[in-house]
Amino acid sequence: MNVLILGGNGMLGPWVVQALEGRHRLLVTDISELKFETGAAYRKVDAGNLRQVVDAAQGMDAIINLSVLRQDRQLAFDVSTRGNYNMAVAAVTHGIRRLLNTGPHFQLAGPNYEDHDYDLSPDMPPQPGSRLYALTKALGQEILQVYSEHHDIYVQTLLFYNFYDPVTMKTPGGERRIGVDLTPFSIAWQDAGEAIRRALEIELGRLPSRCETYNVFTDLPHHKFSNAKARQLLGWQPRHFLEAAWTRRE
Amino acid sequence: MKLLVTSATSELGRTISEGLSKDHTLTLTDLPLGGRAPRGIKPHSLGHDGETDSLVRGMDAIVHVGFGGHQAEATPLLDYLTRCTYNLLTACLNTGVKRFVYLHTLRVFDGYEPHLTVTERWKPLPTTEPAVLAAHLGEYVCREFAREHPQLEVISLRLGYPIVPGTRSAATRTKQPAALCSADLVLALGRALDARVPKRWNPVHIQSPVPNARFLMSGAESLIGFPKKAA
Repeated sequence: MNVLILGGNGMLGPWVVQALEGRHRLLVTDISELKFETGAAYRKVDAGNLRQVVDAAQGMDAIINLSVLRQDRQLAFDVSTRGNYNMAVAAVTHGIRRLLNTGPHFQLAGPNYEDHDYDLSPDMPPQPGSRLYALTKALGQEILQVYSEHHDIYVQTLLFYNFYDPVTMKTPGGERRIGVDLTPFSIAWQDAGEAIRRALEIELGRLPSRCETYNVFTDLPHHKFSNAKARQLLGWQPRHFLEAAWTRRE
Repeated sequence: MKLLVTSATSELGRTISEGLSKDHTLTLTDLPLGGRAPRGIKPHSLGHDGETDSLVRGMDAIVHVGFGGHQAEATPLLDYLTRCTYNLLTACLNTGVKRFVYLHTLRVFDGYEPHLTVTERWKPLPTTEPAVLAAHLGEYVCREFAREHPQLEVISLRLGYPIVPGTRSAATRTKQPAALCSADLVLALGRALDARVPKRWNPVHIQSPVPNARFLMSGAESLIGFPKKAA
């Protein structure tokens, strides 16, 4: 497939490219110059710019949106909310049926869920709350949901939260977590990239609806969230369980 | 009450401003569009700096026009009704303003067959038409703020269509089953500003009581006493 990746310079970008390179023809885009080595094509594209996204999507079979901006309020709405609008318009314009979106788990399971409940599933009605990051991503998801109800597009959203190097057990911030527990929505980078590959390659006819969401984290013993849908529907299996973080040292 | 009304230069904004001005003290605002602002309008970008806090401070309530106010292409419209709604609600939290009335549209229920008893309990089904989608997202922002912040009282008035100038007879003359006359709009809005609401999040369906009316008004009746006229 010809695959457009938006926000390819984000933390997840290199792992997604690694999982897809050699299997698909990739056009990696970002607002900044590419920061990692790849044989894939690259183009500078602002995900928040409708014209640029529509132009970049020409000739594509799928779009993967990895873009995110968390802090600046204007940019957060530009990228996290309208970036998805731009992706949806590009898909309808060019007849692209396969859209993959990514976001943090709390765009669905905000504090109202996370502070109170367990076994949280990706099929719950979203309750992001009013924090900027969660709400702007949730609005972007709502746009995709509405578009999938009115156009022949298939949206799959993969929710992530904390990423780990499974060897060093370090987070992107450099924090090493050994025997001190972790956020029960954590995953190794490699497993995250693999989940996206599975979603990209799934036969669309196997999807229960035109808008599906998955909780994507490794198998964890907390029973806080459920990743069963990603495992069952995508046939995805995590290889790294990050047990050093959630087992006691002594 | 001291009220801030957004999109005040729009036709809908002017209608509600004229209707509310007898009983309330209004601050009218709209986006700066270049050139001189119309008389009585305070141009404001509703950004996320302290200026929106200053605009909102001291108000008793905000009337924020979602559908039918700001006219623009999809990109600026989506930006305005998501980001600026977020900024206004944040300013309300920062300055202690409790009551926030969002003006939305019943067009988000166009996807239901006309024979169905659509009430506030039914899920909105917005289309991808930018004005409808943007207004729906604006309401989404309102709902999430209300969900999380007990100090807010948010009312989303989902308004009938078309909105026609005049009284109920004007609405009847349109022969449109969801029509809303301006007199009823002002009446419902006035009641929404005054009503004691039991919840933080209160969607309310508002249309004129025309023959064969499309929407049931039981929710509006119990929450804000509409469409019965005041004694």
